[in-house]
Amino acid sequence: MMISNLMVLSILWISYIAFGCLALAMFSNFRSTFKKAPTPLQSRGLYWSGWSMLALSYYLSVAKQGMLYGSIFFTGMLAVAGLLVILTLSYRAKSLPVFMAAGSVICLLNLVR
Amino acid sequence: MKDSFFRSMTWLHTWVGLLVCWILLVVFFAGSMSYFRHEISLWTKPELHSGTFQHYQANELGKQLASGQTFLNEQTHNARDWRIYLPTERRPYLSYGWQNQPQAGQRRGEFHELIVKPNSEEMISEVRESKGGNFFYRLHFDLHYIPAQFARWIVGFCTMFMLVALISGIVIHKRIFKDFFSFRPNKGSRSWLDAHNVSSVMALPYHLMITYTGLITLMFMYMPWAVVTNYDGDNRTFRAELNPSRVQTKPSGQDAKLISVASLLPQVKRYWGDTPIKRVVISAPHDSNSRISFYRNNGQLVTDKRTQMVFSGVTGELISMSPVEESATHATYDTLMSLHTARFAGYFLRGVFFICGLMGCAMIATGALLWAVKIRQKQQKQISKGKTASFGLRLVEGLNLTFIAGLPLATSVFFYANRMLPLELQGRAQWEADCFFITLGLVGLLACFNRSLSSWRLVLSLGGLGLVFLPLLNALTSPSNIIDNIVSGQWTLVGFDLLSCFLGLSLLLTVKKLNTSNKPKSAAINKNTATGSQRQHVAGENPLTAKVKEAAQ
Repeated sequence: MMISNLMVLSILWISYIAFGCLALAMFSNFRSTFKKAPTPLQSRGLYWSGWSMLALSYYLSVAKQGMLYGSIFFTGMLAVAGLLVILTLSYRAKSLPVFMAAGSVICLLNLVR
Repeated sequence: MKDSFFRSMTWLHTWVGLLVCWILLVVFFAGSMSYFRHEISLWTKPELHSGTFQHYQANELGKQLASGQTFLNEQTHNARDWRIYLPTERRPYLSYGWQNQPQAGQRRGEFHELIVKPNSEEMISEVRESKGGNFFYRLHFDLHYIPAQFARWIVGFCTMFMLVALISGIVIHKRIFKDFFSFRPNKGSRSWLDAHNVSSVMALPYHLMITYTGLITLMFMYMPWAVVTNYDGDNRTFRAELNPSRVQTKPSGQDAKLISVASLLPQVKRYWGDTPIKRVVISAPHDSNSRISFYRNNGQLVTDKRTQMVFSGVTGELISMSPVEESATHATYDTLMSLHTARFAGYFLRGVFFICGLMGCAMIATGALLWAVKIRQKQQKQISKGKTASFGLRLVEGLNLTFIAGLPLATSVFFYANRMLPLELQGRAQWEADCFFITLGLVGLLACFNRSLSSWRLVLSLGGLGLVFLPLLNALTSPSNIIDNIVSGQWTLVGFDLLSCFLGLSLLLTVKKLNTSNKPKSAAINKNTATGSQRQHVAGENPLTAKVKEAAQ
């Protein structure tokens, strides 16, 4: 069950967006990115979209590569995506939403196709 | 009570982690490199870089097997077994090999292998002697220079420590979710702790998995009592029962005519369909007890088992076939083993595992550096009064420099040795390994005298330069350079070059960053503390990048 390069990229980026949302749901990360405090509604929204993106990423991994391989793949992808989010937050905090948005466009294009 | 529990866990984490961290670092590093074992082996044999690559072709199979059998029949005399390796994704060439009868007192005979050029009878026999990726693979659990059995006990001991350190680390990490995304650079020991936490927590499932399954891989050695009790210590009987197809039949000594291997293909196809075959082994050819085994290429199945069909070499009768029906225990064991070795992993997953392995290296390195930074802070008062740092601190700082900065350098030296040692050198493969350890030794010697920032800078930039120029070395000492490889689609070789270049560059960037970030800092801080904070900085930046670079190869 081979998986296309574009699909791997999509799954990685979805995980990145998921972690990005979860990070922005936290007060300190939100403030360092947007220079203002999040409203409770924003926080909750980001939190739940983060978890649903994670679920989507897991679903795609498993659907494309089977339960066993997909689960392992998903776990590995999480580590890489998490690392990327942390690096973004540490060195380019303001660009995090930009990267997330750019990623979602690529993912959408790939998934719709 | 809670406080004392927390404190004892912190104590446990600190000392259990520190005691074996340098061996663990080598093991983690070598393990990460082993994910690319075949790729490294390919790179270290430039004789194979042109005119040998081919894909698996099901319709060529009969022809390949037949010509292999003919060739081995003509070339070898009284061989113990013949092997025909078919092209796979990671070993993209066809080769014929054979094993001579073992000398008295040895378990295995001398092994020879010839690589076959596609669509011709031509062979490549003049391949340089090199351990290649197997060096790192063996280093991962056999270390080097010491008896394998002994080394495996050491590694097992360290692995147990690692597991304890991981679990106590989770217990003492109070803000595991709150600090999930926090990495605050340029904040002294705070940054080190953050880096330690991030590299641990992000890849935590991987770290736990790899450490636990690492113990499982050698569990019959570490905990042999079940086998001792139930089989009277007869390991062989136990293994035979576990996997009947792996039993080696003894040759009878009577001659018999060997059937054509290719004639068995229809039978194999009936069971396996069009699944590719990885290799065919003919043991005791021309003996009445000879066996012909077909091994299936299991692709991305999460298993570490060899799936094989064994035929009689005289009658062509199917003798055994695996997998036989397996118990839940066996299936669990197999899954754990396969998770550790990741033989099933495709290129992407392999890369992910590699990155996780590097994060493991970073975790160990940052932990060791953090210890040194903290202790130096504690001793700062005495040191500023003119006393020397304690022996423990000097030892730890020296070992940190040797292993954290030394490993990437030693690795690049290994690859230079591979290409630059004379081909006819006696014991060449061993010399390559020796070069690796001599480099580590030299860095260690440097660490005896000077553990300051300048040493870190020197060792890291040497390692970085070495890695950056590996593609150039490859272009000069192999038939094809990176451009040719891109054109002909040899992505394994291209990947090796790009990755080492990337890692080298990031190493050099770190050195540069060290230089710039360090100056204002030391000026701002008063004289007494300058050395301490400088040291922290140096070590902090170094280990992370160093790790990443090392692993890349």
